[in-house]
Order: sequence, then C-alpha cells, then structure tokens
Amino acid sequence: MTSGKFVKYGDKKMPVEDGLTLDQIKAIMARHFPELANPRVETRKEGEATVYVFSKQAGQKG
Amino acid sequence: MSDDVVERVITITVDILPIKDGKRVVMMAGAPAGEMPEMMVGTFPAMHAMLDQLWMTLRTRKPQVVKVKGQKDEAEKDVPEISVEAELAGDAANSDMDKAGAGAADSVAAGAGGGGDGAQAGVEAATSGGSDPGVEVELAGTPAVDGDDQEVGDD
Repeated sequence: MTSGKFVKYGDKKMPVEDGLTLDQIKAIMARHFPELANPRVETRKEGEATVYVFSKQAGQKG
Repeated sequence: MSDDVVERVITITVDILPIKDGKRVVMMAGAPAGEMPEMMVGTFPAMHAMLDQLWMTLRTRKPQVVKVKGQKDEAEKDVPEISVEAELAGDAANSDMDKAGAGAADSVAAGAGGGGDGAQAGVEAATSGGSDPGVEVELAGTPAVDGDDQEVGDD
C-alpha cells in the first residue's frame, strides 16, 4: 500500500499532497462539489495511507 | 478533425495563504465541473510553475467524473417511468370505455325496442321509465347516503 493522503468521494479516489490539511481539503472539495459544503468526513487508515472519505451530510428536516 | 473533442471548462482556484514561518504558501486546485479536483500546495515563487503543471495534468488525465450512489438514485427518480404495460392498460381501459359506451347506446336503442337485460336494464329503466329497474338505481345509491348519515350521527 502506498503512503500519503487520499481523498475519496463517490466512486473516485485521488491522491493529495501531504502539505494539505484536512480543513484545506474540505474547502477545496466544497468549491468543486457544492453539496459538500458541510460534509461528513471519515478518516480511514489503509496501511501507511490516510484516506479521507467524503460524503454528503444528511440534511435537516424543516 | 477535432470536432469530436469536447472542450470543457476547467476551473482552477489559487489560494494564497498568509505568510507563516517566513514563507507564503499557495494552495491550488482544479478540475472540470463534476470531476475530482487535482490539489497542489507549494510556495509563492513556484506558483506559475505549479499552475502550468496543474494545467497539463488536467489536460492529460482521464476524466474523473464522480458518481455518488444517492445522487444517481435521485436522478433516476426524476425520470418519469412510462411502462409498456401501463400504456397497454390505458389503451385497454379506453377500449373498455368505448365498448361500454357502445353497449349503452345499444341498450338505449334496445330499450326503445323493449329488449335488453342485466346491468343494461338500469339504462333502459332510466330511458324507458320502468318500475323495477328504477328500484335498482335507488338501492345502488342508498349505502353511500346511509354511511354519511352515520358519520354525522357519530359526531
């Protein structure tokens, strides 16, 4: 397994540079995917790699 | 020719962060709409080189269109489903209505002649003014009236 950071959203997984923080990644993802303005992020460890799994937060009723 | 190549808008954003530890950091991301963005980070002096690199990466990479399961389902729900069976059922219903209308017309015509039986007798009664079929028509409307009375009584 390769080391480093990855971002996963839907069926796509992309590597990101180590210099980027999770908050910065969130900001970038929100710009490209408006539905991820308030995302749910699950951090998974896959061997040496860290995978941030983005998903759309369920909206509130009302 | 190059007519087959579809040019898409590529959005690249550059964030120039405040100086930290004597270095100004630049954060860059870009992708065509709906695709996973390429993300880069570097120093301010390297910004133009990063931009070139990002541009070339986006031009040469395979499309990374994101498919989210929930969104796909929603998109499918928006599409109205008209099945062949439904269309056939609709045609059959129209056909039955046409037949019923024709039957009623026949019945009225027959009633005028004094013939006809079964359900068509009601139509005959309405048109010819017979006594027994008229009772049938009253009975058909009675349960609904009784139910309404009971509901009013319960209140």
